[in-house]
Amino acid sequence: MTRRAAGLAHLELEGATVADVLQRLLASYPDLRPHLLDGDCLRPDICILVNGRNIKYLEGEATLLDDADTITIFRQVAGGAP
Amino acid sequence: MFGWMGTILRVNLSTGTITREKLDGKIARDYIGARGLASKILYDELPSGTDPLDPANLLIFAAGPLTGTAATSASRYNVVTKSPLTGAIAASNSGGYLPAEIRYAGYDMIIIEGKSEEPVYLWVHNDQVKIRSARAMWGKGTGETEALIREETDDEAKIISIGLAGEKLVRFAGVVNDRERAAGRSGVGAVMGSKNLKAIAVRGTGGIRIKDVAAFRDAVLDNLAKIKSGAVTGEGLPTYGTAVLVNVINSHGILPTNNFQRGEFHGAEAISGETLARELLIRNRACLACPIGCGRVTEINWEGDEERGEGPEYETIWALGAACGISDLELITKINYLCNEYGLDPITLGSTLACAMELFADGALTVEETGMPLNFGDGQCLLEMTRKTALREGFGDVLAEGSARLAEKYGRPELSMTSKKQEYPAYDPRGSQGIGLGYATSNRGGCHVRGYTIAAEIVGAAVDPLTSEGKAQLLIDFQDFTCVVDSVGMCLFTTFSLGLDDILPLLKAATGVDYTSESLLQAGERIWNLERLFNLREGLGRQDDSLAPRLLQEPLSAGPAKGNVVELESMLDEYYELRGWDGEGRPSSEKLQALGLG
Repeated sequence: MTRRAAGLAHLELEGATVADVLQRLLASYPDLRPHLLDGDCLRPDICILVNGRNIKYLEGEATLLDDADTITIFRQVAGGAP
Repeated sequence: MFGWMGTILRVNLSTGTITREKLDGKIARDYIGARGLASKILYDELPSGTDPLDPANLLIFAAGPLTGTAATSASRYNVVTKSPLTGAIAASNSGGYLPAEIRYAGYDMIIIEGKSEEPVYLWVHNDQVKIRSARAMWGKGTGETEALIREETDDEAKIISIGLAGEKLVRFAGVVNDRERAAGRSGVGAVMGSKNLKAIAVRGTGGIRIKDVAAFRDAVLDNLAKIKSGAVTGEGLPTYGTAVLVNVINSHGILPTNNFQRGEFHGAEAISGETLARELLIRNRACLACPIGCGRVTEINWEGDEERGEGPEYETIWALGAACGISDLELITKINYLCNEYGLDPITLGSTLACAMELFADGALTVEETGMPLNFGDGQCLLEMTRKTALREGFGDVLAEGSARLAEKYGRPELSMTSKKQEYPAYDPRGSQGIGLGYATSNRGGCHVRGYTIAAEIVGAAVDPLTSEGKAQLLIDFQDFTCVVDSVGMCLFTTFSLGLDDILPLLKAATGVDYTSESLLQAGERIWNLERLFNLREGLGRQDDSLAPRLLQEPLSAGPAKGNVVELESMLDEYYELRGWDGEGRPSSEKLQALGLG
């Protein structure tokens, strides 16, 4: 969903924390704002991973980043096959 | 009766006897229907130690008390038998339109006993039931079989059939209904083939009696609103289908690759739901009364011809894709179409091929045995071996036994990614501990839909997937609730938006039985324990509640779960204790009495 809203699948951004990167992402792609934020807060149905680990189990949006880190953003819209 | 039709149709193919039995009201209340009720009948009637392919095995097609009503996504039935793949209880689930037709014809379930001397099909037209010759259909695929039977019966008939895999007793043959819906797992199609039963055609024109129509309508509308507004059921599944999981699971580093040697697949994007939606999707397809419509009608250009079919689903894409190192989505889709025609379980097929590929890479298998190289990433060999497996031709005869027997035969049993001899689905449990416990304790062997903890560990991120703490109780909650969902006849996908308290008013209004949340969940627990008792009676126990050695001893080499294995033993001890079972996994007498099983 976020991919469709932004019109792209991958991009490179700089930032010391997840919050920094989100800020830069939204500055570049303002159409993403309603897909990611509820007011000024991250929507509860948005999952953000840093190198595959949900930031909920790291330091949240304050999670520190290294140069080669990969951030993945997706909405909780997925289900498996019965 | 309300909700239930009140009648069981029983057919003995050895004697040609057709009987109708009254459904016992108390048993119906206690075991609900579909999976639960059929498991109760199998447990009561099947002598322990019966060979699954012996005529004495029962094959039960069972709908639930909500199947065929207006309840959201209540389109399901279960095919219950003793599995030729695992030796354990098999309960394989499918949707579409056929399950409701069984109820409209006046039955809660159809029980097949014995074995016909000649290939036959069963024609059920309301109260008229006939056993007819299937000589004209034997050797045909499921699509052609449906068309031929419809010509002989009724244009509106709904049909269950087996393909060549079922006829050839492939241990992981499934049964296919409505052309492309499958009760695919655990080899229920091989049991059907062993009885020389090619198909069941059903035409029903009756209705289902609802006890409190106004309350039922209110509950349906309430649930419909929740389904429509839910992120997964209202948006994700309708837009991308189940395949949207490929990128999500790969991002978590738990997309099993090359027979679970890795958890990240470089070709994931090429086989993702996004790619499928962009390149192959024609439209969605829904089962009866389903507002979700997760089914994908797809089209491929295959060797110059346009072919259209349904799928592939996430698990299929994984099994025929990442598990075998293959990133050609069109080829995966073609093999998926073939699996529907042959009546093959694509999860076990792909996983068995992945096992064979690792055996080949290790030199335990050579071209002398296989007839052709079996290399990871070689789609053409997968295509060829699919055909050979369905027909039990050449090396396909070995593959048709599943990966556990294959790996055992070539001296490397540890390379079979199975529990209770059934292959795992598409989540590496080293990065999602709860599903690892789920694979180990599943009553039907390696499986994700007995207790889909992925919903909490990955999709909803409600619990940390890397910890084993609290996973035993989480899994038990999922397992017992899933027993309820499968037994009322609803689709498991509704549970992304609905809970027990949403199903409760539907069931009460339909049946008039004064269930409570507690008694309904206890019915789920009763069903789980009954399935366990069946397996214990067949000689299974704690030693079978295990995982492939790779998952217990070889840490993942990359990704967020790098360095992790499944912490099974501690979770299993806690699981048994919480279940009220002893250290060997046997329910205590107190537990059995509390559940009415003592």
